[in-house]
Parts: sequence; structure tokens; C-alpha cells
Amino acid sequence: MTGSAPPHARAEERRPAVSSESGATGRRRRSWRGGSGNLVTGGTIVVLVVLLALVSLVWTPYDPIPVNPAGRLLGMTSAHPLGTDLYGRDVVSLLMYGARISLLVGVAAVVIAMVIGVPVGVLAGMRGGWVDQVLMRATDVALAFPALLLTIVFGAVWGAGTTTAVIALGISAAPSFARVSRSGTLQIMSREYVVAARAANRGPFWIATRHVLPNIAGLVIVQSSVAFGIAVLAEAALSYLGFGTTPPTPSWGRMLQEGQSYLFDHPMLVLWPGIAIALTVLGLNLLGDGLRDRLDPRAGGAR
Amino acid sequence: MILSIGRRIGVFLLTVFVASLIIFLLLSVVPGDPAQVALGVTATPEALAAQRAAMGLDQSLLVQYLDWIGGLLAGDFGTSPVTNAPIGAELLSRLGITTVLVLCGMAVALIIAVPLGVVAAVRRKRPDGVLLSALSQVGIAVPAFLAGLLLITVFAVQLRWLPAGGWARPDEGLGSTLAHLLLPVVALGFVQAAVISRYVRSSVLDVMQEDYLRTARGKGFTAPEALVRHGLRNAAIPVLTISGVQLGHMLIGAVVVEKVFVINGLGSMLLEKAANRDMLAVQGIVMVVVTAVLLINLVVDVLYTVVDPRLREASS
Repeated sequence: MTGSAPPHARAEERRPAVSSESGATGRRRRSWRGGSGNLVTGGTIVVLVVLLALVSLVWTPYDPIPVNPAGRLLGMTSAHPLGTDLYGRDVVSLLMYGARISLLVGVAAVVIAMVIGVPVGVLAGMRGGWVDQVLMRATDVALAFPALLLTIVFGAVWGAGTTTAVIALGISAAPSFARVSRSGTLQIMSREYVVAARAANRGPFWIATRHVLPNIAGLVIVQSSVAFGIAVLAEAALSYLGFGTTPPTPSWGRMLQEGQSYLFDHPMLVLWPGIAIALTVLGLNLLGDGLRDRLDPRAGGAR
Repeated sequence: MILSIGRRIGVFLLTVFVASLIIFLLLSVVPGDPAQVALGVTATPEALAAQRAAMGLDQSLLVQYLDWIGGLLAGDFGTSPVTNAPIGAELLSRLGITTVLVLCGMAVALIIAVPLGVVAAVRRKRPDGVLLSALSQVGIAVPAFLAGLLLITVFAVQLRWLPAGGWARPDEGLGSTLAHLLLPVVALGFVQAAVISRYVRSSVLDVMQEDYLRTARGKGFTAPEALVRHGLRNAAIPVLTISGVQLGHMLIGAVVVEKVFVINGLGSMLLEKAANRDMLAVQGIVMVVVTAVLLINLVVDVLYTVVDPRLREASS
């Protein structure tokens, strides 16, 4: 049963795994259909968003930054398939540029979280004892600072902006990477090949890079995809609040905020960035579920 | 059991203490002089020095920290150097609004999530079960504030059935309170319902393959009877855990939802104070939110031990 966990586990850790194909049917069908469906759907959505962002580096239908008062709030026309916003900027171009910002923030935050979290988790898992205790207590404290809260505080202290948001989101995602890496490391450390390596007098660094890291890579990749989705959501929320990407750089969250004043006549101005955010996060979540079914031994086949 | 609960409370207090240190240090390194902020750029050096002394800024960081934390323990959040008003009173009334919002949101979430999750589990091979499962996946991808914007567009702006924002206290008319509460609570609750229903589904699926359920069937119960009499209580434990975790997330999600619906809760207070660089107020708010998140985790941990007899034995 997946639901039960060791009694000493803390609330966050006890979060039961949800896989796409769970329980009774899971055992028979999971390896192929369930995981693959999510993997393909999620992967396709994510690849599309990435392509949009990449294309925006070299080409967008219009320049999304300069203001064009003459052409503001145009409905859907052949020149502007999704219309223009309150500053007369082409919505398609804004969405493409926004994809770039969302992905940039997501990637950067995940990289920061990984660089901090994985070594901490591996160290805690390999050393054990008081080192483990101290590091895990520290992640407990860090987990009490939710991403949005931390970013708003960082914004108040050092000024709001994309860089501040990326750093704060990365730091607040680090504890979950530490937890995942630690539990993965604990499993690996009891394997025969690690025992053999220790008997052969291999140093801890050698064991970490040769045995531990390659074996927990799957767990870390799954966690990355989850953290990526959270970062995209948080970036949108922060830009909506005015604590994320600063104008005039277009971002999906800012488009929502600017569109809110025109809900009566131009509800589509909110709908398009809304769809973009939801679709991207959906893609990342499906990708994460699909990867988990493939890579995470705890979910899927093992249970 | 008492011992393990006592140990958890100890860990909770220690974590709160460390968090308070971090919050204090984080907001003490702020560039700029709070005394200057309070008096403006025209202040004379003497007035600035006097102001710094009055605010305790000439003391060491340790003394400043002890002052602050001592005040907090006595329920005093200090006086804002920006507005010259006591922070605690405003914080308390704003916290009340946010608490109502979050608890009602959680109630909505559970009312939707539990039946939907059970149906999605029981009918997992039928089209409706699969559809529910897929819908919950879509629901998770929609942030609460976006759901709020869409709800406003449909029910407030286009249909004009409900107010687009604001807040009404119960003494201004209960109907008005409920009307103002409905959209934000649904926005918060719906998204959480999507998350929680997936855990309900997954834990009901787990329970359905347990031996005791087969035994119950063998004793002559129909499948739904067996599930209701034996299964749901066991399935409730992981759901309790996730609900606690999500309650903390909702508290943070409320920051954005309050902004969408122009509600003067704790979240909008945080945004206002952060924008005004009223650091003492920000410090107090962050402390309250972090303590609340930790407290929720503690309560879930303790409930978990109390609800599940197996864990009770294991931990004693």
C-alpha cells in the first residue's frame, strides 16, 4: 500500500505518490499504456512551447515591445490572429515572447534548486548521523518558506525583477531536491556494489559520482519536471502581482494583470495567456507523471 | 504516544525559532535606513540619530532581535515606522479574513474532491472515471488566480450575478457576505479539489486491493457497502495528510486570489507593506505565515498518530 509511510516521516515527505495508473490496474497495464500516454502528450506540449520560445528568439510576427496606440485592443483580425492588447501590441508575439520568459525562469530556477539541493541530499544520505540530522532540519525550516512568500520578501529587500524571482524560486525548490536525493542515496548506499566499492577503499567522492549520482538521476529528473511546473506557475503569479518580470518585457502573468481591466469587452486578453499557462503546466505535469512511471522505481512496477 | 507528540512539539518550536532568526536577519540586511524612511530625506542628522535611538536601531542586532521576538511573544508586533500605526491590530483583522477564505476554500475542495475521487477510483475503467481523472489533471494546471479571473469574467462581468471583488462583513448583511465570498472561495477550492481528488482516487484504489475488503465481500457485503464500511476510513489517512499540506499552499495561494478579488486580507497587506518597504510589518506577516504553515504540519503529524492505531504503536 502506497499510502502508509514510516511514522516518523514528516508531512511533506508522506505525500503519497500519485501515478497515472495506480493500484490494481497499474500492475498489469502500467509499463506501457499509462506511462507512455502521459509521456507522449506531455512531451509534445512541452516541445511545442519550447519551439515557440526558440522561434521567438529570431522571429515574432510583430515586435512585442514598442507601444502602438493607434492599433490598441483590436479584435481578432487576419493581421493579428489573436488581436492586440491595450498598448496595441500583437498578442501572438506577446505569447511567444512570454513563453521564452516562462521557460527561462523555469530552467534557471530548476538549475539553482538542483545545484543546491542534490549535493545536500547526497551528503546527508551518505554521511548519515548528525550531518544528516542537521541538513534535514535545515530543509524543514526552508520548506516553511513557500516560493511566493520568499520571492515577495526578496523583492521587498532587493527589488522585484526576473533575477530576484529566479533566485527565490530556485532556493525555495531546493529542499524538495534535497529530500528526493537523500532518499534515493539511502537506497543506493545499501546496495552490494557500493559495499564492494567501500571495501575496495574507494573514497566517498568516487562513490558519489560513480554510483550514487547516476542512480538517482531518474528521481532528480522527475523532480525537475515537477519543480519546473511549479516555477512556471509561480512566475505567472508573481508577474501578475508585479513582483516578477518587470515591464516592458512581456510575460504571461503580466498579460493577465493588464487584461483584467478589460474583462467586459475583451475577455480574450485574459483567456489567451491563461490557456498558455495552463497548457504549459499541464504538459510539464504529464511529462513528470510519465517520467515517474518510467524512471521512479517506487511508483509503478514496484508496487 | 505522548512522548512522540511531545517530541514533535519540541521540533516545531525549534523550527519556528530558527525561522524567526532567518526572517529577522533577512529583513535586517535591507539596504536603506529605516529612520530615514520614517522621517524623509529632509531630516537633520540629530533628528535621524534620535529616531534611530527611538527605534532601537543603535542597539546590536542581538538586542534588536530579542526586542522583536519578545514583543511577538507578548502579542506586540511593533509600530510601523512608515504609517506610525501599530502593526498587530491590522495584522489580526486581515488574518481573520484570510482564514475565513482559506477554510471555506478547503471545505469546498473536500466537498468536491472526496466524492469525485471515489467515483474516479471505483469507475476507473469506465469513460466517466477516466474523464474525471483527466479533468483533475487539467484542474491542477490552472492556478487559483487564473480560475478567479475566469470566474469573474463569466459570473461577475458577463452575467452580472455576483460582485467582481471586495469584501462584506457579516454585520453588513449575510447575503452580501456570502455573495462576496463565493467566487474567491470557489477559485481557491476548485484547484485544490483537483489536487486532492487525485490523492483520494489513488488511496481508494490502494484500499480496494486490500485483503480486508475482500473479506468484507466474503461476509456478504456488496462492493459499495464494503468500501463505505471498511475502505473509506483507511483511505482517509493519506487524504488527511495531503489536505494539511494543501492547506499551507492555499494560505499562500490566497495572496494572489486576494489581489484578484481586491480583498483586504493578509496577502494584500503583505503586498502593500512590501511595496511601501515597511519592513517591520513584512517581518511580522512573514513570521505569522511561516508559523501557520509549520503549525498546520504539526497538527497533521499529531492527527496522523492519533488516527492510525498502527502508527501509534510503532512510534511508542
